[in-house]
Amino acid sequence: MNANDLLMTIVRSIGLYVIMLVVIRLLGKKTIGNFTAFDLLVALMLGEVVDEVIYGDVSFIEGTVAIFVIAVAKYFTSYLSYASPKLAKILEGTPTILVKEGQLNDKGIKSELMSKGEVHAALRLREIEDMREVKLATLEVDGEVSVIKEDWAEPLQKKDLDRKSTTEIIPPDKNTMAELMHGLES
Amino acid sequence: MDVSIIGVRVFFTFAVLLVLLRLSGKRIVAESTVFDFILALIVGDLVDDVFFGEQPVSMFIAALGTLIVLEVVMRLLSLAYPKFANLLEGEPVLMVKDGLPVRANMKKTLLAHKELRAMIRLDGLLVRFWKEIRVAFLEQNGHASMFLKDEYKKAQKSDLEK
Repeated sequence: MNANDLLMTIVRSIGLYVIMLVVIRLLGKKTIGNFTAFDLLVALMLGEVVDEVIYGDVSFIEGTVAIFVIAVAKYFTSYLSYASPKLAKILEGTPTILVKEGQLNDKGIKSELMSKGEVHAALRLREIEDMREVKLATLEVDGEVSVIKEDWAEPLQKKDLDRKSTTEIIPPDKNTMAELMHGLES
Repeated sequence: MDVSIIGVRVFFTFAVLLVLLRLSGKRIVAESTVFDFILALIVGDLVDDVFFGEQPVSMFIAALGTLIVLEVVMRLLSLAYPKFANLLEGEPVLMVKDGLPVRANMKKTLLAHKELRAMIRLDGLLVRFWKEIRVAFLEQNGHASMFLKDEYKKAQKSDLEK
């Protein structure tokens, strides 16, 4: 274990950090939002490859090639999923209905190998104690449960109140407006 | 392989990891973007080899230290130069405007319509209520952020007549 080995480790770390930055940037940010099992696997694979290169078990070139191939494969499948809904079904799966109009969808729950307890837990995490409030609860492809409440269970919206137009509307401060508008301009 | 040696290595590596991460600041650990997530995975992998004696601890410290220094440098640069931050992390992308999906942006980010519907569903909105949306963005961390039109926003105490 000498200084040269340590120096090489540092140099490799820098190199891989930069490469990973570029690769992730090019692959796009959607990867975490709708993070499917496949995305997780890709992330794990990339992590493993980087690890091997940093420690010098695999040459820099080999590692970069592996990262590149994984990235291209991921991009390719992302594009295919986008272009063909049929392939998207195969590659990413489809959302499954867990609760519909206050009733548990036993078939759907079983098909996802979930228990009724898990469904109840997911609802509780959304601060729902009464299942009748649920219009639709879906297990999305990324594993999260989306819940849509019945109209009567939704919190009040401004339009529901008998608001007179003379009510003083406090405008958001300059910084918030700038942030929101920035997104609209692009 | 002596089991107690593994125990010592784990303990020591854990301590090193803890110290370095605490020194580098809280946000290093936050998985705010995909890159942060993968960085976390890499750190986990690095630790792996040390436990089983396949790499000396000095290598681990060199690698981890370098990654953390780079992260801190990147964050400092991002703070100082917003343009650099944009290059690094990207900007929020407008996905829905006035109840309608922005197809150009969806194509750019390879977001299929089904996925967009799922993202909005996760925020509690069904497609037929999309008219309530003023704007919806896809943020850097991959999640959607939605802003509803004024009349559909949740009522606040200030909305009630005095």
